[in-house]
Amino acid sequence: MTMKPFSMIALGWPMFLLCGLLIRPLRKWLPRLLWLAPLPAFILVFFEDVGAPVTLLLGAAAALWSIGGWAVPSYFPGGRPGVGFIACWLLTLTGSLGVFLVEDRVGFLVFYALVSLPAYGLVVSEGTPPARRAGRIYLGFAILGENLLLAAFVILSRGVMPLPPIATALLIAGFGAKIALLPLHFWMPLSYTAAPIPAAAVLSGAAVKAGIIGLLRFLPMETTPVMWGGLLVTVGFCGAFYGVAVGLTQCHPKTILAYSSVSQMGFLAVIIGMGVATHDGSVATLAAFYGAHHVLAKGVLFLAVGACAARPSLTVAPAALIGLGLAGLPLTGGALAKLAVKAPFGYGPAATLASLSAAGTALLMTHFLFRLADARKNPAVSSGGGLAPWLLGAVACIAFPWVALSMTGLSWSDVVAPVALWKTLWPVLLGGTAGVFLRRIRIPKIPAGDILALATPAVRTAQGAARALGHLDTTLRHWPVACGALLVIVLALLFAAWL
Amino acid sequence: MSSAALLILVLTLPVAGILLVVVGGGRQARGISLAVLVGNFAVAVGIGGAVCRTGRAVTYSSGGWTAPLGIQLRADGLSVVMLITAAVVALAVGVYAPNEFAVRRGGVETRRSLAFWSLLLAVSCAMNAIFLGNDFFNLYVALELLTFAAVPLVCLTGTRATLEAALRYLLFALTGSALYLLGVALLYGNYGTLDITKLSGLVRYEPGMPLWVAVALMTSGLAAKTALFPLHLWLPPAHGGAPPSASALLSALVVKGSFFLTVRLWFDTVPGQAGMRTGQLLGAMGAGAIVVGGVLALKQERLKLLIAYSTVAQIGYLFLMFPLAGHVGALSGGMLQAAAHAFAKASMFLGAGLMAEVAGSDRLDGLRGMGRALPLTTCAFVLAALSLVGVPPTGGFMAKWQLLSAAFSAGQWWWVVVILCGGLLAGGYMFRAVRPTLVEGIQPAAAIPRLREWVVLALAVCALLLGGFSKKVLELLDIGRPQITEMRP
Amino acid sequence: MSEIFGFTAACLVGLGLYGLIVHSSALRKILSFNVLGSGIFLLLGVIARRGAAAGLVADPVPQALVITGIVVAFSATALGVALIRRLDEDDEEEGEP
Repeated sequence: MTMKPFSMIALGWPMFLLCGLLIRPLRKWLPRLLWLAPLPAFILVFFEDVGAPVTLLLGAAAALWSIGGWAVPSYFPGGRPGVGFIACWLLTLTGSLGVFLVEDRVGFLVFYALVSLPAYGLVVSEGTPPARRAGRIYLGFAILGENLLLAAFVILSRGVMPLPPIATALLIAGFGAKIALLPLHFWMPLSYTAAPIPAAAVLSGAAVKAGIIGLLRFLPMETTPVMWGGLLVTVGFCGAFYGVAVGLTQCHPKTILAYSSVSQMGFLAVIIGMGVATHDGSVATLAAFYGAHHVLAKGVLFLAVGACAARPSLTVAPAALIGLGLAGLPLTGGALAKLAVKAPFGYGPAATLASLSAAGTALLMTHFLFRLADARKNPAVSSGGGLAPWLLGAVACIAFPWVALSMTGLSWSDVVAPVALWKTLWPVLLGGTAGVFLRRIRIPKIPAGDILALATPAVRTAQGAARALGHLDTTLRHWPVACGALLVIVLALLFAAWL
Repeated sequence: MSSAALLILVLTLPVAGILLVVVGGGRQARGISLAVLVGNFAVAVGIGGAVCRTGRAVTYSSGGWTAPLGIQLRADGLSVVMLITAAVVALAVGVYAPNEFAVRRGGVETRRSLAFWSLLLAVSCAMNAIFLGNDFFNLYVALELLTFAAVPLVCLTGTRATLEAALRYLLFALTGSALYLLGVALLYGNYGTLDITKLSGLVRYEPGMPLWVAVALMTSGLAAKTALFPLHLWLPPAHGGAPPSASALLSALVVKGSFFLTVRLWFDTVPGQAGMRTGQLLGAMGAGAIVVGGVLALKQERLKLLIAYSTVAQIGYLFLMFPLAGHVGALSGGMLQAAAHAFAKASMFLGAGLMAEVAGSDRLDGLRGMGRALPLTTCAFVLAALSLVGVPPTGGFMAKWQLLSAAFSAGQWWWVVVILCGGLLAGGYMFRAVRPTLVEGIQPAAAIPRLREWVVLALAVCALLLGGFSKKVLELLDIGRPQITEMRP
Repeated sequence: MSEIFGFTAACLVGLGLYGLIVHSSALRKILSFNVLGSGIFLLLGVIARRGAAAGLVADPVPQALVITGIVVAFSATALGVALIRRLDEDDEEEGEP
């Protein structure tokens, strides 16, 4: 594993806190110290040159982990989550920040495993049957992704140029499982609905970006064949619209946010795909800028769900600003992100689709805002915790894109130009209006995890196959069969060697 | 002391230990055995140091007679890695076992205690002999010594089920070793020597039907002893029924003995001559093991049976090195897998033993709350499971990396599919084993000495460190290899 | 002469393997193993003779192998019989025939 010395400190510090769990008196205090864990990484962003994409994503991720960590105690009785939750939190955090900082491939896989596997503990921490089911599915996908990436990285490290297509396919599938690219998306709504709110916040905001940085780093936009860019754009747009469509049928605000994540990650895949398709390396920074805004926006919207019962007045309005901001409400951070990625889309059908997907986001966010307003009366959805972290997060989310604007090459005057304002405003108006009308229509409900419901026949087939293998095993373990097999093997080996 | 003398010492030390145990009786058995096992570990490390320092294999001709008449001992990189692995696992089992097999102060001395300690030393001795042997007949004797030590370990508790499992194991192992011996006889008849180094020189110039009959017989016999699918009939009842310390030895070490001989046969004696098909056949059996073992492990309700079936599956990975022979990463991947599996599996079986002691049984649904009752063991359990699944940066991961790399450079993508499917299945069955321990639940209070928990954890950490230091291990594995491994017809 | 011995050895090996596969009783399996073993030892004897044909009086190495092999086979038989006896004792305690 290779990394810069300061990165080692930044990643060693949460591990050090983790060791604090072993000391009984410290255990009590650790939940209140969680916000400290990502701070060294956050500080690192300001004075170490790690490249623009990493700076943006790491900065936002570290900020979200800190805000989320601050919110953790208010969501657990007595302010003390279980030891397992803390351990999983710190491990996932280390992995989430580590994927940005580590420089070699094996190291990347290590941190990628760290951001994927321990998050299981966060998903199931409520221990309910749906949470356990979500956890199982989450873990299955994590291991699947890990295996696909292992194969891809083995090919990468053989140094064959140009990269064989199978390696690129494995990379896209592996990272796609992490960022919930269609059709590998259905774990996402299940897990984010099941996870406690602060965990859902950091998972949806920060942890998924491990997949984004992976795509940016290992599918270099300058050299990857154009075809793969086209694939990413297609799959990404499908995800972007599919997420909106299924999200609209959901009631629980967390599920709606999760489907919005499916949609947003799809859009991010589109941006990366455009960069690949045009062989334009500068798109990486723009994608990172968009991603970084999504880190904070999605993370704090989850916190809004929790905080809404405490002070609805301080929750719904800022949430509206951030939520519609994701769709590109003018002068919000989201609008900056949308403007930043305008360039790679140009003026073709891709640009129209991008605007339509923004309208879709506005529609979904309007739906979310109505559900959020309803949620304040429902203690099962909103416990009323974490108001202060939410407010800080909201401020950070609105301020961050303005601070980081210079990294995208846009200037202030570009952003406030009337044309630019209109370009981002009309999708929001369109989507928002549609959202208000949609409230009057009854929409059929689709269970969270949508296509998972279709998997029953596959499960039945698998069970049948497992039963058949069980019978096979029983047969083979009869003495005469095994002895006969031994002789057959002798002959087969002889036959194979002799020919 | 010269490094060649260390080779003798590592064989004689455990034998001396057995004799002393017999003389000293059950009361002294534990002390004597632990001292011997520590010494065994030190000597193994000493041999490793000597091999590393000189960068060449260390050899010793017993009685000053050279091959073909004399018997040669030879320690190359492969031997050293396995010697140290076996020494660590045996020592860990020794430290773990006392409570199970101790004679209480003032209590009656049991036959069980005496038997366990002498068998532990016997396994240790036989493993060392297998790793150092350079003569196929000598290796046959070592292999039989290993079987005779392993069979009684299965039935230490003396229940009917374990006696039946032991008998079945013995009979199948005997069938396997008869085939092996038949192959050895044919080899001798054809080449007039059984020395591996000499044979590898001879078979290159005169391969032929008798050679392949011998190789086929020996390989199948060894596969039967390794419980390679579909010859695994004896493994689940034997490993699942034995006491935990015995299961750990059987699963971690004993099956590796016959596997190691297969490696010696294929990679050192007939390297690159067997053609494509034989390797593919062995690999196909390995793939069968990975899939069937994995699925069966998923279906088990008892923790120890689950771990036993996972051994069936993990043995499959070992045999994937044969179709990939000659490509960089095949041999090293297989050997890394052997070592990583030894550490992880020993840790799991010993951990399962502690959990069963607390919960009263090893049913999976009875393991809730183990995380609180036995935090160190649970931690070790998770680590060992990660290594078996092949999550970075564990030893299991590095082994898979090497095997995958060999599969890609051989252009045999089907093994990649097998390895990846195996990873998913392993994820599934290890999840089944680990998850109940992490769920809240109430366990009866039981006083488990911390030392035993630490041993379990130490083994799991070894599996983890093997990944971290894999570069060093890979370098070590290369020492003393013949230069002809790249040849293929 | 060696052809006859060689053929006998092959027959013994075949008989032994056949017995190992088809007999369900453990004692018969052990006996079959011994038949199989005898076949292998006889084969080694033939090999020793063939060494003699090459100019030596008799090749001593296969003979040494046979002696060692007999010891191993004897121990294996003893271990197997001990296990069978334990199982039988178990049966008697349970009151079965």
